[in-house]
Amino acid sequence: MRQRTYDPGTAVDFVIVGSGASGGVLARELARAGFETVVLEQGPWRTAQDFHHDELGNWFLNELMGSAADYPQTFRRKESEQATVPQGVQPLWYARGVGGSSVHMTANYWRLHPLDFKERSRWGTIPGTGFDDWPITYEELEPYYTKVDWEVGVSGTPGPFDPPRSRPYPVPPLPVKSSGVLLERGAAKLGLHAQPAPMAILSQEHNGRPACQHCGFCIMYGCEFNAKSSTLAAMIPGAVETGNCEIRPNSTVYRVETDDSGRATGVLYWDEAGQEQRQLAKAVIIAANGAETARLLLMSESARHPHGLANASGLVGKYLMFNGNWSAFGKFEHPLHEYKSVQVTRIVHDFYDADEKRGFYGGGGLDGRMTQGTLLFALFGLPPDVPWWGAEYKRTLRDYYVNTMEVAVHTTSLPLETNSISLDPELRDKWGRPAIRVTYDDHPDDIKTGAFLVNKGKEILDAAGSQRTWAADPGPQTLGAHLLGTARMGTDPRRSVVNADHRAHDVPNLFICDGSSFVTSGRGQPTMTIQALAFRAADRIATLARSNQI
Amino acid sequence: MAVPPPPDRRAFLSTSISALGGGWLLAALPALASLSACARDAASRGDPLTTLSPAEGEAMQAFAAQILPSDELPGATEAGAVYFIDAALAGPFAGMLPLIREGLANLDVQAATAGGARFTDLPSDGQRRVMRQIEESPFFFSARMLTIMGVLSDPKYGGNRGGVGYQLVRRETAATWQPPFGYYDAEAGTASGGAS
Repeated sequence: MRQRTYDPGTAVDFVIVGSGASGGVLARELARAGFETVVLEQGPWRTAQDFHHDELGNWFLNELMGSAADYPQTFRRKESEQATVPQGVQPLWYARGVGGSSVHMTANYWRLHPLDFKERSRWGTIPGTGFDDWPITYEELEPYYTKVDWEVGVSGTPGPFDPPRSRPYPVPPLPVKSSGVLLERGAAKLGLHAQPAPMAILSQEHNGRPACQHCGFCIMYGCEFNAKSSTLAAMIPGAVETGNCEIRPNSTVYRVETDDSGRATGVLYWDEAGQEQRQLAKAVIIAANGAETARLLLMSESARHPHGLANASGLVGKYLMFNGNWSAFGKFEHPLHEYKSVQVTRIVHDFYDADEKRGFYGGGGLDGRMTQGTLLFALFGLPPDVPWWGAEYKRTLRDYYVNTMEVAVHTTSLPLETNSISLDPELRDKWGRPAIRVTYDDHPDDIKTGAFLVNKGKEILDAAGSQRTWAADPGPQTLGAHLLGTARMGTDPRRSVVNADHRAHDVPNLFICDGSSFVTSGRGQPTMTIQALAFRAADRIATLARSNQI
Repeated sequence: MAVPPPPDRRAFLSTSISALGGGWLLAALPALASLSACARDAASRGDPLTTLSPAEGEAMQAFAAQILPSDELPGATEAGAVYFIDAALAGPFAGMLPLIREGLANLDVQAATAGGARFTDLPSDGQRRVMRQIEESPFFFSARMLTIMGVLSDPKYGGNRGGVGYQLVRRETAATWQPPFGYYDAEAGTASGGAS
């Protein structure tokens, strides 16, 4: 399909920075609403044929994320420390390319609960944190969650702890795996309630896309069948079809320009050849993820916006939240073959809400799965007391690999002003942009929540009949794939970056909509909510544009 | 290319990456295509190595055979791990070449003090004694990682010949699957739907 193209020198209605979970939705919705839309994506435009079953390429050589040499990041735990390039592991994991990280996501699509939007009202302030209510409610967002279910494509069925929904899931849950059966078995013995996992991977043909073929290559891989509901598969084709939308890949935006009146006029970017280009637009939407969005705003400083664009509050880049991600493992008598099919088929949400009886703030969910592929498991997956080379290592690897499952826990992260994305003062990426500097140290309650749930995971595995159960003690995290909170929504311009319409408090024709909009972290599966926010933002922005309020 | 020094294994295991299952090397290079091309060219065992010298190749092969020995099941030797390593050290892991070279030479130094002329001349248990002495070194960490990659990566990279690595871990091979996937879902009889 040939897409319409636009002259960068003529102002389009909207330029959208980023084509991922949020940008892909905004592009399709605004183009369908009749607006001329240009999407600038820093990575290439791949198709399903470009994806492959290759653990080395995807997990170790970063085919989808880009290399640390080209895009270095620095990390420190405290603001008082000198940030350094971590040994081996990039602190932030996100894919570059049309569809963004929705291409390589695991595709757990949990809705937030009504409580998530007003936890400060429920629990009160938490000293030293930016714990706050959202400026919107679950009820306001529910129709857009339903849009994600039906238009992006989510497989599932309601569970006992689910929030109210206005429409059933469009397609049933994916077939249960052995990890799901065992999670359910262990949970039931403990009086807990496992439920089918909602996944943005199609169990049946839907919206012209095929059902999952159960190849098993989801997390960190692009889907070869277009069964995973990435925006690349589910939204971008519809955006292009309108004839109102140009997706411009290999376009790296480095500045939002503003005029003397304080309005945005467009963006500057480098094209594939490294040439500087200027795309003019009547309004700018940034949907580049919670790290890239913050960097772009901070890089767009000017005399009028000395601390970065939309940053009169000083909160751009602050309140970064990763969610907690920890795991327990169990080895069973018979083979599970967890490398087959989607990662997750059953989840446990009994501990979703915080509970003051625990003595700390926090909650989360558990799921049954095996994240590690063959290579990762052989390198790092065996229990720590097993020899790591030689005959016994080999024998144990053979006994354990196909018989092992993981209970992964996904938890709240408290918003701390000291956890942030900022511009590294020295290091530059291949374009000359300041490297993203990450400052992150989990709140003590976050670690306690992780320990509490990892322990529950071990109990579930034991109750399910695990022959050997093991887990590392949760400690401070050094990497994040969920990039949340760095341009938070709110009604008070002193305490937030955007309002409930995702409009920047300081710049009337600048909108920011992605994980950065989150006020609190939810329980670890943010993409569903990022996309519901994007559908809602598109509605709000279209309404404002039609009534000349932008 | 800047390959980071390998982290201490125990410290590494304690980080959240091991819980997440994360890959630790983010030093990607565009040399991937040339790596698989040159690995294919060296497809038959006995082909000369192109990066490591013959002596280095023998030492690397002996080291790899101790990491994943051959017994009733194939090991690193049958997988052709050394061919993967030889190609990888000229490709995406080129930054490790000095470390590997120095480490392989050091195996001979250690072997000499253990009474052998070279590491490869030592009996198997003598080789293991030498390796245990350097078990916490960056060389050992990296050479172990490359060996395991050479056994379990996609065969297009030159190792895991005939898919013997998958046999070793009892991984079935097919492009796609249908339920039941494993013992417990088959036993639960939910193979036909799972929507219950």
